[in-house]
Amino acid sequence: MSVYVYAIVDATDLPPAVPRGIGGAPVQAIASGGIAAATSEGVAPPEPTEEALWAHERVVEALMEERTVLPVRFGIALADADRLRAELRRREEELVRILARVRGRVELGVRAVWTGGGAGGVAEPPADGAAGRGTAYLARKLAAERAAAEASARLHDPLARLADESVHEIRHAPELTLAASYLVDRGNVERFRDEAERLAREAGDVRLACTGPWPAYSFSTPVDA
Amino acid sequence: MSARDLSPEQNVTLVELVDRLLERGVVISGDVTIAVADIDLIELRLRALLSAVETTRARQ
Repeated sequence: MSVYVYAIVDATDLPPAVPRGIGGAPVQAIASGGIAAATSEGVAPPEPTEEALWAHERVVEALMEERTVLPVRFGIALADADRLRAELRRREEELVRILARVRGRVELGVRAVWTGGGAGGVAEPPADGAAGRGTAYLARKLAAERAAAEASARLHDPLARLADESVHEIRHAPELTLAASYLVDRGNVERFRDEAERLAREAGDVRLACTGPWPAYSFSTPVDA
Repeated sequence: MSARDLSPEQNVTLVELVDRLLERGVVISGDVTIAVADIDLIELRLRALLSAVETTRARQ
């Protein structure tokens, strides 16, 4: 019977107040060694509707209140409980290591969009494609990219200093965007949010959203070591 | 509630949710019976992102 997986927890049982999961299915622990997976038996991977995504997320967030959790990517089910136990056994050492990495921490998301266009605006290349103008275009493009990197660093670097780890990505199109995730100590969440707001006010032409606390989705994969 | 009824803040949250649940998190492999088809993920991402952009524009 197909077993849908929401998360891995650092205990062999689940807290009592876990809501129902995908399609209203009950959520149960399947344990192996000192860890367990939060699962719904008889549930096949659902279509990724907004409702199903939130059902998955609600389960993980409830677990996060009481346990250290590694959120599992949406849409994964194993053939049966025995296969899942075997997988937990095979990867226990790695999973325990990642659980230790996220213990006591949450993930905060920052999405910043520069509205002024000054930092990242790049003019279109000339239509006639003349060599000289092409070079000028490339130079402008490089300068704009450098300005964009500096603008996003002014937001990202101070935030990264308040976090234990971070991952970030800068997109240049359609608008200059910083999409970043920070692994932050639970006790530092308010301080982080205040700092994000302060930096956004200081930058002026930035629309910034700080979301979370999320389960540590961005920090739950093995670190290359 | 449709995506259009959401505030820009809620739409950002939806985009962030989609990014995290579909692209990150632990991948338990081994014997995955069925994984969500890639095409569905792309469609969902696009839907969520487009509705966020539309709502933001409507409010400007």
